[in-house]
This record gives sequence, structure tokens and C-alpha cells, in this order.
Amino acid sequence: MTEIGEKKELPDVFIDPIDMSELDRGFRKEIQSMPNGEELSACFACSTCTSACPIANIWEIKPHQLIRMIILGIREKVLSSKEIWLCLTCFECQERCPQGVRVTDIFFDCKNLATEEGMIPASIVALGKELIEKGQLYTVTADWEREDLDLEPDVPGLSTDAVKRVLGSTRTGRLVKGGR
Amino acid sequence: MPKKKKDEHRIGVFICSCGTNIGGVINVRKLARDFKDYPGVSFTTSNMFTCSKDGQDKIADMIKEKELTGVVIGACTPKLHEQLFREILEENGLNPFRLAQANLREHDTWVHGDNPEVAYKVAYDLVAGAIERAKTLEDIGFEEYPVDKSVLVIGAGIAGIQSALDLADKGIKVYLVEKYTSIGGYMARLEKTFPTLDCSMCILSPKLSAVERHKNIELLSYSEVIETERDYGNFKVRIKKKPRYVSIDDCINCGACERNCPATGLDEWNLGLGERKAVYTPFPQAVPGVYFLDKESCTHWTDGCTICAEKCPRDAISYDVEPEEIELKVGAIVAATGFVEMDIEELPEYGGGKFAHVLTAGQYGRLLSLVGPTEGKILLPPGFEQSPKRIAYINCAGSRDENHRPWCCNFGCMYTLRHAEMTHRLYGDDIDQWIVYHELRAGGKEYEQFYRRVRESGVQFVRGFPSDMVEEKDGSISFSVFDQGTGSLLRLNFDMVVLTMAVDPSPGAAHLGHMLGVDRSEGGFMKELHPKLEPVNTKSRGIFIAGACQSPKDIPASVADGKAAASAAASHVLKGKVRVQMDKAVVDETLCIGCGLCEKVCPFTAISMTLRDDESQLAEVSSILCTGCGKCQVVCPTGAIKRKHFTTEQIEAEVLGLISAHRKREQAEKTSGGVSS
Ligand SMILES: Cc1cc2nc3c(=O)[nH]c(=O)nc-3n(C[C@H](O)[C@H](O)[C@H](O)COP(=O)(O)OP(=O)(O)OC[C@H]3O[C@@H](n4cnc5c(N)ncnc54)[C@H](O)[C@@H]3O)c2cc1C
Ligand code: SF4
Ligand code: SF4
Ligand code: SF4
Ligand code: SF4
Repeated sequence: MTEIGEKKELPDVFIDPIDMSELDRGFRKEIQSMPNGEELSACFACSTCTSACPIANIWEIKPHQLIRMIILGIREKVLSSKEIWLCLTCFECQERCPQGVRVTDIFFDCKNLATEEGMIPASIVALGKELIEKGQLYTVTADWEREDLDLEPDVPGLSTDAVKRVLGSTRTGRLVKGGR
Repeated sequence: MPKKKKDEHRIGVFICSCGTNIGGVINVRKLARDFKDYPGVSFTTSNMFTCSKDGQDKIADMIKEKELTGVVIGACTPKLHEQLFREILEENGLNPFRLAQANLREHDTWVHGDNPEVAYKVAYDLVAGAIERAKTLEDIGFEEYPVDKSVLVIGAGIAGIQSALDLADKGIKVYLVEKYTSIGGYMARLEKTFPTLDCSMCILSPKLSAVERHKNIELLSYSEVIETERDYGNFKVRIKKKPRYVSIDDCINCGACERNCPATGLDEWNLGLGERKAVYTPFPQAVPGVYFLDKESCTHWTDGCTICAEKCPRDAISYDVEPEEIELKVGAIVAATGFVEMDIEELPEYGGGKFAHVLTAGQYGRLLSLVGPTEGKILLPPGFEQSPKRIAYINCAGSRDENHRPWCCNFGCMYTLRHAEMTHRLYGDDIDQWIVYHELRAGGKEYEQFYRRVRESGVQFVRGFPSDMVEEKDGSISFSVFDQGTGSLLRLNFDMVVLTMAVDPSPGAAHLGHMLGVDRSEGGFMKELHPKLEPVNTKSRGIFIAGACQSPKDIPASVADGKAAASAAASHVLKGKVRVQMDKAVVDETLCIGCGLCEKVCPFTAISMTLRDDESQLAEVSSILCTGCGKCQVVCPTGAIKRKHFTTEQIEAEVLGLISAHRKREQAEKTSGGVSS
């Protein structure tokens, strides 16, 4: 418990308002013009998406808040948010939105935009690297199940070369090579 | 069959189960049986639904078969079926006032549902009281008065206009009184209407012309009702025609007067945005379509100006016109006096009346009007030179607020969407539009679809209400709002702020309501007889209400109301007569001492004192004005004045019957130790 009369600064409950000049009023249109973003503006802030989300409980910014922030133009905060990357892409929100807003798809759009602007978590880059280098996300190692079944340790005929080649020229490739 | 004596009581008792409402709590068959041997009762029965065909037939059959002298029904409140039951009595040769109803549902089983034993006792006592009352009831007759085939409609907005047209089409003479110089009401101010965005005038002006042309409608514009009085079946109405100084018959609408007039006044048609000449016409399609001189702003009476009269090519203008009073007799009245936006100065927290760039939505609507002060362009007042870059519409300004007007303005959400949509169509993204709201009410046909369309057009919706509104040096307006959608506090700045104003009934509605004997609801809106089942009737017979004077209503609802009121008024006057039940106050001349107390307490001025031949005073009751409230009966020191059907004797009989049933049971319980009835 804090002693009364101790506080010199404003208490935490005072919120710094977001000034209108900080809003990027073009952001809504930007997302709306990306794949599956068309229905964005139909959102009427019901927060069904948040109710549907299996993990939004632990998110600081909830799915409906992200959607409303896109519409309002709080661009930086949305694109730099960890939540768009935490999304499970389970599509529960999108399935339930009463206005047909493609919430999950819009979060994909946000991730793509964030990536283009370098706002991508290191863990995601690491995953990309894994893909580019190995052609697969999970390599089979010391597979006792295979052993139990009397199979050779490596999957026969698994060729990841084509995958690596194709991925190399995608956004993932660019990312891993250090560029944007 | 035993011979029946003339003054013998033969009461029939009918106990209703009312489904499970009564029968689910008490044993109605037992109750009916328990009254079999009650003095004066010659028949008892119980029924599942006494109001059903079966129940009705049973009453009818028993009246005839048992030659009943009175009927007691233990059922629901008399408010629901008393009239029906009375008709059954009358159809079967028994005076309708020989009915006594015991309200076993509202007064007993709904209250004592958790205690059936008590409920049964109460039911028994109530029925016993009703039987004793039935024994004292007398035959009461009816009087019939002629009703004129004419209706007065007060207020010529869309509701009044629709009423007038429908009535006139039925061949009924209509007097349409409008206090303003033109008919049309608020709808005539609108450029377009939601949700279809059809041009308001395009759909309204055919009706305005129809009013002007209809041979059954007499239009009394710029007029007001100053007195109404019930005159048996009709109403005597006095109307003041205010002078418009421009003769309706002579003016050819050339506009010479307006062009030359040097004087101006605040433009009330444009809700105070800008000025107009002292002699003017509010809008091109005005009806009557002639000019009008506003005495307040004209300088003739101060500096002797006569320019307009000189310029008028038809000598239509004359300054020596006095107000004229006319008297009408009509069979019914429809009040359709509409609404006004609340005064913006009542909202200083939103800069109302202080900040030049804060407008009412009505004013904004006038900016959108092609015949408004800016010819349809959105420009900043007072100069009207620059367009705003950012507009905020603030919904529920003063509405849904216990500090101002607790009710919802009903159409504000929708017209704000319409204003935003119209502005978007005109200016696209050049104007950034924000709607600050809390709950968007779009309940009508195709309204929700319209709302979605406006969201998709890019209008920004912020859920929350503003605070800390200030005017910046450049005249722009800043405020804070906590946006519930994003969960963030925003500090916003706009070039123009438009307030979706709370609405009030038209000024004078209270006075008019009093004159017509119509109650008012919260906020002073006219009160209907029943909010669901009698929405256009009022507690005053022959008086009907329509449109936004009853509660804020949009155009579709006001039109529907207008039609409903016309239908109700028509069925009233087309009968040609009213039948008035004579269950009113009557004076026993031998007992009246002329003290005048009754005259003083009667709230309906139904009692007047007259002189007898010997010069002494005698109270006289107007049966048409008396509503049967019974106040006079209570104050009369000699018992000379009696409210028929609720005389002191009848009330006493009922109360004593009830008490003695109760006493008898107590006595029996004491002696036998058990429950007797
Ligand atoms: C800004 C704004 C925009 C709107 N936009 C729309 C829209 O797009 N679509 C829609 O459906 N609705 C809209 N409405 C609502 C619409 O205006 C009302 O539904 C409609 O006007 C109600 O009609 P009324 O005849 O009941 O009342 P009113 O239009 O108010 O007419 C009442 C008439 O009675 C007269 N009067 C008043 N008192 C007296 C008296 N004592 N004696 C004689 N005459 C009297 C008045 O002068 C007036 O002419 C809007 C309202 C506002 C404020
Ligand atoms: S469910 Fe759809 S409409 Fe509701 S807040 Fe989420 S995105 Fe918006
Ligand atoms: S798709 Fe993402 S945001 Fe939507 S419900 Fe699943 S985890 Fe939540
Ligand atoms: S008398 Fe003069 S001031 Fe009055 S309306 Fe006529 S021109 Fe205008
Ligand atoms: S109609 Fe809309 S703006 Fe008007 S009070 Fe109701 S909720 Fe508020």
C-alpha cells in the first residue's frame, strides 16, 4: 500500500490521450485494399471476435481493438503489436463476425505489412531461416517411432531442394538474407 | 318453476378460472358452490374463460332462464371485459348497469399466489361484496347527442396533413389549423429523407398541393386555436387568424415586395442561420403559396415604411389588418402539433450558443438544402465562405441524459447517418466525418442496411461521448472522447461540430393539451389512451393525437399515425351521434342547499350553480362534461349530489358485504376451529 501524500507524479489512472494528429487516417484504406480487407469498414465494434478468440484473454490488445485501431488509424501500434503474431489463425473470430469482417485474414495483412516495415519478431525470422535452410520446419531427428517400426532413420526420397529454391525468392527469402 | 316476486333479488354468480391465473391458485368450482345458498343468489357456476364464447353464452342463457336481476362476475379487472359483459346483459334484456365485477385476478390471485388459503378467503369476501353491491344497483340509461361530420386538425406537419387528407377523402369536412405561415412542418425543411434518400419536397409537395385543392379541407394557416369547449357531442372552437398583411387572394407571388424590402429579420425557417427580408416566403413550395409580412421585423410600424405596398402590382399588401377570430363547430379534433429541437443554449458543455462552429443538426440540414442559406454547400458559419475539413456529429446531445432529456430522440441516429452520407456524396474524402455516438438506433425497415452503407463509406464511428470541449483560437473545436472500440482516450479537433439535439414537444403543447383535456407524458408529450392498443386515442372522447406530438417519431411513423388518427376520428364522427352513459353525477333538488362546494371541487367544470324560482341556489350538472370522478359526492354536506352507479349506498353495501363475510368466517372458525369457506 502506498502512503497517502507520497505521490508526486500523476497517478497511473490518468491516461495520455492520443492526439488526432497522431492518427494515420489512410490506414483503413490501406488495409481495406489488401487481400480480404474489403469488409473492414463494416465493423460495428460488437467485439464478437474477441469473445470468440481462444487466446485473446491474455492479449493486451484484443482482436476487436486491433480492428477498431485499424479503422481509426492507430497504425504504428497495430503493426508493432505482438498480438498479430500471437494469433493462432484458427479463424474462430472471422467465422463468427456478424458483419462478415475477415478478421484473421486482416491480421495476415497486418503481418505482411509489419514484415515489409521490419517490424517482425526475431522468433519468426528464426522460423523463416529454418525453412529456407532446411526446406522444412521440423526435421526428423532420432525418431524412435521409426526405429520401433524397423525403418531407416531418414525419410527416404525426401527432397527439400525445390522448396528451398522457391522460398528463396519469396518475402521469406528476402527476410532471412537480411534484407527487408 | 316457483313464482318470482317482483322485488326479489335473483343474482347470477359467474366465477372465472382465467386459465391458471385464478384457477391455478384457488378452487373456483368450490368458490362457485360456496355461494349456492347465499341470500339473493339464484344461480352460480364457474368457467375456464368467462370471456370466451362459451362463457358469454352461459351468462346469456342464465339471464333468460333464471330471470336474473343482477349479474356478478368474479374474474379479471373490469378494465378488460366490463364493456363486453355489459353488452351481454343489454342484449338479453337486463340493464347493462346491473353488473358487478369482483376483480379476483389483479386484486387477489396475482397478489396472494404464494398463499392459496388466504387467496381463497379474499376471493370469497370480494364476491360477497360484489353480490351485495349488485343488490343495490339501478337501471341507468343513455343519452344520445348528434356529432357533426367535421374534424379540426391542429398542426399541419406531415402527420396533420395526412390526417386531413384521409378525413377529407372520406367526405368529412376538415379544418386544418397551422400556426406558421405555411404548412409542411419539419419535413419541409429536410433536403432528403432516410433511409432511401428521396428528396423530401418531391414526396411532400404533392400532399401540400392536395391540401390546398381539396374541396373538403379549409386551411387556416397562420392561425391558432384559442379556446375549445365541449358542446354535447361536438366541440365549439375559437380560432385566431393572425394578420399576414399580404392578401392570400390577391398576391400573385411575384416577389416585388421582397426584392424591395429594406428590413430584415432572423431567418427562423433556416433555424437562425442568416437573415431574410421582413416580407418573404419561407420556401418555394410553401402553401399557401403567397408572401407573408412578419410584423416583428417590418419597420412600417416604427418608421412608416410602405415600400412593399407601393411596389406590389396587385395592391395585395395592407397594414391595417386586425387579427380575426372565428368560431367553428366540429365533431372531433386531431392534435398533430409536432416537436422542436431543444434549445442549443441549454448545452453550454457542448459550446451551445457560445462556439460559432457548433451547430444543431437542424441547422446542418439547412446547409444541405439546395434552397437553404448556402444552397446545399457545407460552409462554416457565420461567413459561409470556407468548407470544413473535419466534421464531428455528436449524437444524443441532451438526449438520454437525466440532466437534460431522459428520452431518446428516436430519429437522431438515422438523420445523422443521412447527413453523413449526403456529405460524403458531395465531398467524398475532402471532409473527414466522425460520428460520436453511444448505441446506434436503426430499428426501422432498411435502416440497418443504411447504417452499414454509411460505415462502409468511411465515416469514422467512435463509441463514447465527448468531454472537455473547447474552442481553439482558429474557431475549431477540440474535445476528448474515450473510444470504447479501441479502448483509448482520444483528443480530437474539428472545424465543425453538429449536435444531434434532443427534442421537445412544440411550445404551447401543454396549454393545448390542457384545453383539450389530454394528459401529457414525460417531457410534455401528449398522452395516448393506451400505449399499445389505443395509440392515437386520448382520455378525452373525440380527441385524437398523431405524429411527433405524442413522442418523437420519424416520417413513416408520423404518416402511419396520421392515418390511424384519421380512421379513429372518422369512425367517431361518421356514427353521427355519441351515446353517453348516464353514470354521472345527479342532484337531488330537495336536498341541495346551494352551498356551491361541489362546483368548487369539480375538476371538469361540469357543475354550475343556477337560481331556483325562489332565488335560492341549485347545483346543476352537465352530463356531457361530467366524467363521473365522484369528487362532488364526497364534499356535498347533505348527500344531495350522487354519482350514479357509485352512490354512497352502493359503495357501503359492497364494503359491508365484504366485511360481514369476513366476520362470519372468523366467527365460524372460532366456534368450529376449522376453515369454513
Ligand atoms: C434534423 C432533423 C432531420 C430529420 N430527418 C428525417 C428524415 O430524414 N427522415 C424521417 O423520417 N424523419 C426525419 N426527421 C423527423 C421528422 O422531422 C418528423 O418525423 C416529422 O416532422 C414529424 O411530423 P409531425 O407532423 O408529427 O410534426 P412537425 O413536423 O413538427 O409538424 C407540426 C406542425 O404543427 C404546427 N404547430 C405546432 N403547434 C401548433 C399549434 N399550437 N397550433 C397550430 N399549429 C401548430 C407546427 O408549426 C408544424 O407545422 C428529422 C428531424 C430532424 C430534427
Ligand atoms: S466481430 Fe466483426 S463487427 Fe464485431 S468487433 Fe469484431 S470485426 Fe468488428
Ligand atoms: S484467428 Fe487469431 S484473433 Fe481470431 S480467434 Fe483465432 S487466435 Fe484469435
Ligand atoms: S413595409 Fe417596408 S419594412 Fe415592412 S415589409 Fe414592407 S418593405 Fe419591408
Ligand atoms: S435516436 Fe440516436 S441520437 Fe437520438 S437520442 Fe436516440 S440514440 Fe441518441
